[in-house]
Amino acid sequence: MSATIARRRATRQAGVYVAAAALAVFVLGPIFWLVTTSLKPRSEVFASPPKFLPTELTFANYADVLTPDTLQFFANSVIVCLGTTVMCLAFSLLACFTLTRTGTRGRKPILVGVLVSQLLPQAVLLVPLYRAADTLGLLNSRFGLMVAFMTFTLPVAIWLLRGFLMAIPLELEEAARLDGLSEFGAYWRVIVPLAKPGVAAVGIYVFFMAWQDFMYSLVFLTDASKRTLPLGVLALIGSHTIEWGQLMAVSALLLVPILLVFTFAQRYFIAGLTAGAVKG
Amino acid sequence: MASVSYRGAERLYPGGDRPAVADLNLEVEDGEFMVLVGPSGCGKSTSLRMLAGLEEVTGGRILIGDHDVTDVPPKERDIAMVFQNYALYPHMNVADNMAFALKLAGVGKEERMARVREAAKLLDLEPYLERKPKALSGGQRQRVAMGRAIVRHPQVFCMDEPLSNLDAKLRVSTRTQIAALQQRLGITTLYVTHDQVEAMTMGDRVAVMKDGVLQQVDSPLRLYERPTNVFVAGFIGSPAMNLLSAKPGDGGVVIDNHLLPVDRATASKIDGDVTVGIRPEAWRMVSESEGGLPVRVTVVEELGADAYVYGQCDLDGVPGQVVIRAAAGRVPHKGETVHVTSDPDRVHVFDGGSGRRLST
Repeated sequence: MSATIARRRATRQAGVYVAAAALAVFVLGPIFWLVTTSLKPRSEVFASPPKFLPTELTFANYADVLTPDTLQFFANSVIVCLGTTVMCLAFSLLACFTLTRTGTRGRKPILVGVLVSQLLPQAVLLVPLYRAADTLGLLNSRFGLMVAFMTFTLPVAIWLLRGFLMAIPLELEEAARLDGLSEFGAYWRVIVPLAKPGVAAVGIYVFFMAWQDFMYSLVFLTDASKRTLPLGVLALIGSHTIEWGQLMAVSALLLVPILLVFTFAQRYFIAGLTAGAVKG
Repeated sequence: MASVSYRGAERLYPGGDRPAVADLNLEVEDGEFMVLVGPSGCGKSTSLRMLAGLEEVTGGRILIGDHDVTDVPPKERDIAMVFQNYALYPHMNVADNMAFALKLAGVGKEERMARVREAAKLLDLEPYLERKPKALSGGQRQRVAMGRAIVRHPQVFCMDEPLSNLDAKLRVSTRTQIAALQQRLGITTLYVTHDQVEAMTMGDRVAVMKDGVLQQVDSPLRLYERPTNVFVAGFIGSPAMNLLSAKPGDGGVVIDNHLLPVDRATASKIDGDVTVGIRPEAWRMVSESEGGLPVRVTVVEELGADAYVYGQCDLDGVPGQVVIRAAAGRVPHKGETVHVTSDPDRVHVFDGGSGRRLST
């Protein structure tokens, strides 16, 4: 191997690292700013020139926001998002049985319809959904919010899951049916367990979509005790003052579950997404 | 154990203009090894899947024993199937794969394990019972698929090209094992393959299909010796039978001015142009003066004990391909011209239009 090739390779590698570093600054910069601001005393938040690292570390912002109310909001968020995930997975798995494993007529139009419904901006659905929820008595309830979340999570879940499920060979289902299972039994006991990484990936994705919602929660929930955490953030933005340190502290707390889930489930998530990419 | 009957069974796909399987009438006896063979798209796999219940039957009936199973779901047909890609459950180990059907049928754990061990012993799978399918070789996976079928003691085995994913050498040895195993267990078996050698070596009887239509059902030897039409004649046998167009002549058929004698009964049935079929080993090399068909040798395949000689002949101005089996020591050279003829009892005559057999 000649020195030129070695040098060229080194240059190329350096280039890759520089690009990766730039990307990391771009992606992690705001999170870094969020975390450091949450750890600064109020006097340093607007210091000029800006202080990238707090000179004196304080947890006062966290202490201030960790009230029983915030914990309640946090719990509400977890309940609503887990509920949405479970319901969404159940419904999308049932839908995918019909859409992937049976020769039901009209599968194509249904799939296209699902895709089109996903193209509507969420804000457009807000008013009709609100009226529907009002009629059904689902306003100001966590269950109602879960149902509302499904309007935008279910189409995505169906499309993603369909890809994972279609990638599983048909012969496995046929073998299971000859081994003594019904069509649905073969799907539920053989096909779905094999698509587990995909199901997990879709579950995580749905959870994230629900977790970051602000608009639906704001419109559907009126009772303070039922609010989700993103609404709790809103309470810190007053008409005269904004408690930036506290705001950042709550936002940091919002990130914790996402980081936790991702740390433990990233293997599934990435395996699932790439598996879907190969055949979907 | 039971017999299998297809009674006018038909499979028409929605929107199709021609059925994938048309009016299939086939009786498989109890304990028989029946091979369905034909080129791809001939309907052999579809026929098998109709029996298994994986494919809808759009006409006619299918019976297992005296029991009409046409509308019975697959799980109630008591059929075990071996798939081309084996279709082993990837998330279960070998033992669980084999025991799955028994477990669903409510067979107790002791009995389950006993039957799995028995099958594993039969198939040399004992050391691998704890392994997942992905940790097995192709041949081992194939045996697990067989084991999964065996443990169930089903009424019928369905095998859909179970050897085509194996390499050539393993295919030959597994072929023998499956045939021996079937004989030992005595379970009625339908076996689908596109490989006519597999069909000939394994089946008690062979059903040849083409374009969804059953052409002939017979023992391998009968298929070879008395093909019912041009298609079967050309499909069964390797290298394939020589099929040459010919005209009626005095006491025989005329191939490019060379008279080939046929027996009197056959000659009386000839009415117009015919197709003449001669197996490579049925050619006899003669001297030029004896009036054989001249063949210019283009390729010689030496096999040791004998050789296949490929050559070209002239059929009224159209070049024709001829294959001749020559005994060792009498193999002509490339470029040489040999003269060949055959004997009346070894010449198959088929109608030139319909392709039906005229020879008696």
